[in-house]
Amino acid sequence: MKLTGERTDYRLDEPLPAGVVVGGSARLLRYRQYPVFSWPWLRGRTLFALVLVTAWASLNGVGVGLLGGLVPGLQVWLHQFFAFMLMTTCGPALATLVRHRRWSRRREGLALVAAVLVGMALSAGVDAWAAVRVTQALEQVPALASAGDIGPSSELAKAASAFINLLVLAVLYALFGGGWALRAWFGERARWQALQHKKMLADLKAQKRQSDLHLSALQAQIEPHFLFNTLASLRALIASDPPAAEQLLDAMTDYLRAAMPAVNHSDKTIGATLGEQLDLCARYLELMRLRLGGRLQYKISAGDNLRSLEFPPLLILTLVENAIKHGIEPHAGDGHIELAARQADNVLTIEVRDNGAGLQPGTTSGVGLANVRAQLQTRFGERAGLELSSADGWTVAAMHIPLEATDE
Amino acid sequence: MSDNTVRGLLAEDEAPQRIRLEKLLKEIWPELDLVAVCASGTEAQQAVRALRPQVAFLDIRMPGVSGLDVARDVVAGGGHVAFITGYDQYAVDAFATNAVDYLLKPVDEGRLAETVGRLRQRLAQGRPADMERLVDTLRQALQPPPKDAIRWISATVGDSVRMVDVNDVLFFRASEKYVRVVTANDELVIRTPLKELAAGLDPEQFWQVHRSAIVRVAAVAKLRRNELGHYRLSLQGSREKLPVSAAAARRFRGM
Repeated sequence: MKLTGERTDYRLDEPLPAGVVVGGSARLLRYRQYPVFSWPWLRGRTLFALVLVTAWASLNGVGVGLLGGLVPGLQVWLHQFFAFMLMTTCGPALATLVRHRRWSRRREGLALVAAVLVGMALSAGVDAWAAVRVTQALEQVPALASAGDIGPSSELAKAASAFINLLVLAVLYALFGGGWALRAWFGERARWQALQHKKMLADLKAQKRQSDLHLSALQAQIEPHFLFNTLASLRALIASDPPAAEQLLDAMTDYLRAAMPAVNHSDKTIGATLGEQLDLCARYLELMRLRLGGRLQYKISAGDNLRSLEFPPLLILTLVENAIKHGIEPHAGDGHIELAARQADNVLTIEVRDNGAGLQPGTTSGVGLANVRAQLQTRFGERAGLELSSADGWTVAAMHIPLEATDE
Repeated sequence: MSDNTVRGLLAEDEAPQRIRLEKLLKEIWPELDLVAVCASGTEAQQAVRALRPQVAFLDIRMPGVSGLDVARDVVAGGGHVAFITGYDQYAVDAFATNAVDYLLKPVDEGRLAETVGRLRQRLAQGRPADMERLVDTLRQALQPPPKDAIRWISATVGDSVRMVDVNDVLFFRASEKYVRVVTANDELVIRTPLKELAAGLDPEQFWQVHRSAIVRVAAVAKLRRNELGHYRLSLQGSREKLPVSAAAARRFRGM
C-alpha cells in the first residue's frame, strides 16, 4: 500500500470528484466543478461574468441611451462592460497562471493571494479611469447632469458618501474580483484532503476485511479436522484406488495453492475473475466428493459471459465451505451442493444450495459469513447483499451484486 | 461363533477411510467380527444399542450423533472404545490422561496394531474405565465456546428458516413463549431467551431497556414519558412503541 500523505497533484483539467464539488449543476455554474483557478474553471467563470456584465452594462447603457441619445449610451455601455469584465477576470486570470505553475502549497497560496491583489489593483485603476469617462458621458445628458448636482453638500456627508463608495467597491472586488474564488480555493483543498483521508480509511477497512477472509480461509485449511481427514482419505485411497488418490492429491494441491497467497495478502495472485473463483470452488468440492466417497454430489453452473467478470476472492468459497461444514458433513446420507451464477436485470446472483442439515433457529456467531457480507457492502455498496434461508430441505446462501458496480 | 471371537463396531463417515480401516482390522485382528460398519453417528448409535459390541472404533466428528455420544452407549453396554481422531494435541492429551485408546488420522498400521493389542488386554481384564469425565472434558475442548458474540439470528418465517444479520435488527421483544426479532423490513420469531441474547449481543450496540426488550441504540428516535410516568421508546424504522424501565431511561438521559 502506498502512503500518499498530502497530495497536491490532482489534475487541473478534469472535474473534481463528487465529494469535493460544492456548486450546483446549473449550466452557467458548471465551471465550479473544476478546480478553482484552472483553465476550464476560468473559461466557465469568464463566460458567466460575460453574461452578467453584458446584462448590467446593457441596462445602464440603454437607460442612458434613451435619455441622452445613442453616443452617450454606447459610451456608458462600452466603459462599463470593459471595466467590469476586467474587474471580474483580471485577478482570477493571473491566479490561474500562478496555479498552473504547480508550485508547492505554501508558495502557491501566497502567489495566489498576490495575483488576486495585483488583479484588483489593476482593475481598480481601469475602473477609476472608466468612472471618469462614464461621468463625462453622463454630463452630455442634460437630464442626468442636473440630477448629478443634487449631491451631498456638507463636508461630512461627502466624506461619508466617499467612505460608503469605497466600502461598496471593496465588497464588490472581494466578491467578484477573485476574493470569493480565493476562499473557494482554500475550501477546495480542505475538502480534497478530507476526501483523500476518507478514501484511505475506506481502503484500509476493505483491506482489513480482505485479510480477515484470507485468514479464515487459511484457518479452514489448517483446521485439523479438514487437513487430517483429507490426508487420511488420501492414505486410504493410495492402496485401494490409486487413480482416485491421484485425483484427490491434485484437487488438494490446487486448492491449497489457490488459497496460499493469503499469506502475502495479495489479491492478484488469487483468481480475480468470477470464473477463477468458481474453479477454486470446484477443486474444493471435488476434494470433498472424493473424501466423502460419493456421498456428495455437486453441480456448478455459470454463463460463459459471467465467468470473465471481475470478482473479489474467497467470497464464494466461504459460502461453499459453510455449506459443507454446516450442511453436508453433519447430515447423514447423500448430499447435493449446487453452485450457480446468473444475471437478471443487471443484478448478478450467486447461489449456493445444499440439501444438508439446514439452518436451526437460534443464534450463531458466523464470522466467515459476517466477513462476506461486510466485503460485499464495502465493495459494492448497500445494494449488494447476502441472504440465507432454508426451506423444503434446501438451504440457500445467495449473494446479490448490482452489475454496473462491478465494472469499476 | 467360537469363544475367542470379539464383536466389534467401526464408525467412520468418510468412505475411503472406512474401507481401509475395515480391511486393516481384518488383517490385524482376525478374531474381530465387525458386526456393524457405520457411515454416521446415528447409524452407529442404533447399532450399538441393538448389537452391544465389545469394542468400538469411533470417529469423533460424524453426521447425526457425535462419536463421543456413541462412546457413552458403548461403555454403558460394557464395551471398550478406541477413538479415531483428526484433532490436535489438546484433545489427544485428554485421551492420554484418561487412559483411553485413540488413533491419529491418517491411521498408521503399526499404531493400529498397538491399539488392538491394548484393547485385547482390556477385554481380558474385564470392565472398562468410566468414560463420563473424559467425554465432558473433550466436549469442552472440542467445541467452540458458546458465549461467542452473536452475529446471526436464524428464525422461522412460515415454513422456512431465515438467517438475519444482527446488524439489521432494530429490537428484540419478548412475548410469552418466544422472542420477536424486528428489522426494518422483517419480523421473525425465535425461542432463544432474551437473557441469553443480552449476554451474547454487543453491549455497545444493544441495550436491554426493559425486561422484555432489547433495542439497537443507534436506532432510538425518541424517549417519551406518558401521563402515568411510564417511559416509551420509539425507533427509526418501526412504529412500535417499546416499554422502558426507569433505570434504562436514566441511562438514556445520561447520554
